[in-house]
Amino acid sequence: MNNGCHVKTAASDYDSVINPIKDRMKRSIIRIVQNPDDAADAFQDALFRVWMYWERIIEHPNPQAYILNICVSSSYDFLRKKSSVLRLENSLIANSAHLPESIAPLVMRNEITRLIRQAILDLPLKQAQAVFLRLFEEEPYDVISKVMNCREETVRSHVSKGLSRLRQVLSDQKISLAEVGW
Amino acid sequence: MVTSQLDPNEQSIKELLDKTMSDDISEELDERMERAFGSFREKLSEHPYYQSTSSFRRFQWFYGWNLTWSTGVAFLVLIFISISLLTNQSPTWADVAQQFKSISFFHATFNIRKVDSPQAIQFEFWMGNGGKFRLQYGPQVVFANQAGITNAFDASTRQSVEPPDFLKDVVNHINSADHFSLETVLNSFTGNVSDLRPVPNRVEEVSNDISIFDLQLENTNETIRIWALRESMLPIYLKFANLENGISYNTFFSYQQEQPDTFFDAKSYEDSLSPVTM
Repeated sequence: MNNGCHVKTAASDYDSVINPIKDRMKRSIIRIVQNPDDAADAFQDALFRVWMYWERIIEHPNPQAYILNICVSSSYDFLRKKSSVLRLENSLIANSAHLPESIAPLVMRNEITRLIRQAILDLPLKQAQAVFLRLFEEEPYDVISKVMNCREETVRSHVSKGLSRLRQVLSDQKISLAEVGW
Repeated sequence: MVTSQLDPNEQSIKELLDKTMSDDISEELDERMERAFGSFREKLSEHPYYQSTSSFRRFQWFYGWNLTWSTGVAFLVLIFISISLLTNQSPTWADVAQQFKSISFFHATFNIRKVDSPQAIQFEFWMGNGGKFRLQYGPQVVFANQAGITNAFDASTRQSVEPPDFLKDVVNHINSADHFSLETVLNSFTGNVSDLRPVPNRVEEVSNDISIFDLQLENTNETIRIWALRESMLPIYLKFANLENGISYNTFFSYQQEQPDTFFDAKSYEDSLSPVTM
């Protein structure tokens, strides 16, 4: 195969593999890191990893799921490193009774968001990857198992434990979503 | 791409996560990401995967990996340039690392201090073109290149001397890396942390001129903070602190004047030490 043919293949590989999931890649990153500047950093990191693992990606049976997994893990890594420096403040939910009624729901929603994000941040990486790929990307378990290189039962266990942890957070804080208009 | 339906158990949590984890992308961020995609697509044909024959590359993974790594870095630089220089954003750590790598000379003052000692070890370091170094520790002046220390003198006695072990370690460490970089400096403090990346500290950014990056090493009490100029993207101060044993390293970088070749020439320096004959 000559180089001219390879050039054409590179473009067609990009168009067939990355183009259809560009929007999902972007959203998977911003969803996790939230801050636009951080998202730009995490996105650079993700693209770099995609470049590094391109050969594996292009020959993987589910290249797009593989790439989305990279986006999730890059964002998650970024957020965890940042969070290790800047831990989120303690929740205000315990003090919510002192909040004026006019702003209480807004503040509570903000706090719930922070708590959920912190809980996700505290999940082990594998659990977080599995939860994100399952819940947001709605990938089938067998596909997730291939990109995470583990058995399907293990992925199910990761998702189950991750969801249990999130429910536990809500339960511990006695959060009522209806109270805050959710 | 096939997706699968969530069960009710998963769906209830997903609805909550959808509310708490917005995926809205600003127009500006979207443009930055699209530019990066464009650079990626443009450079992809240069990826080693497309540069080698398909039958050959399967047996050349390790060689391919090295090539992938080097071209990957070059590719990354292009992405950073397209994202950062075309917009007026805070520099990323990669911007700072790349900018530092691109300069041919600098001067740094290292200050090593223990919390229980009033004394600090201080030495200066100059890097010049062609991988030449000069270090100064008290009256000792040490010359080195990529092969190691070549000469060491004591200016007070005008004699050749054996350099202190820690300066030998510094030079050996620098020469152990393929290219001198900020990662080389970080590694000299922490061991191998090449898989870690400092992250911008946005809370501490009180100055519009300076960007701050933090690196918290996992499972240790060691922290690193780097101050960099926002416009030139060059680091000016690096502080490493071990909160457990109280040791801190402070490194001040300056880029004011490129030293001439004679500055790194041990022979020239030795000649200058020779007693003047009348």
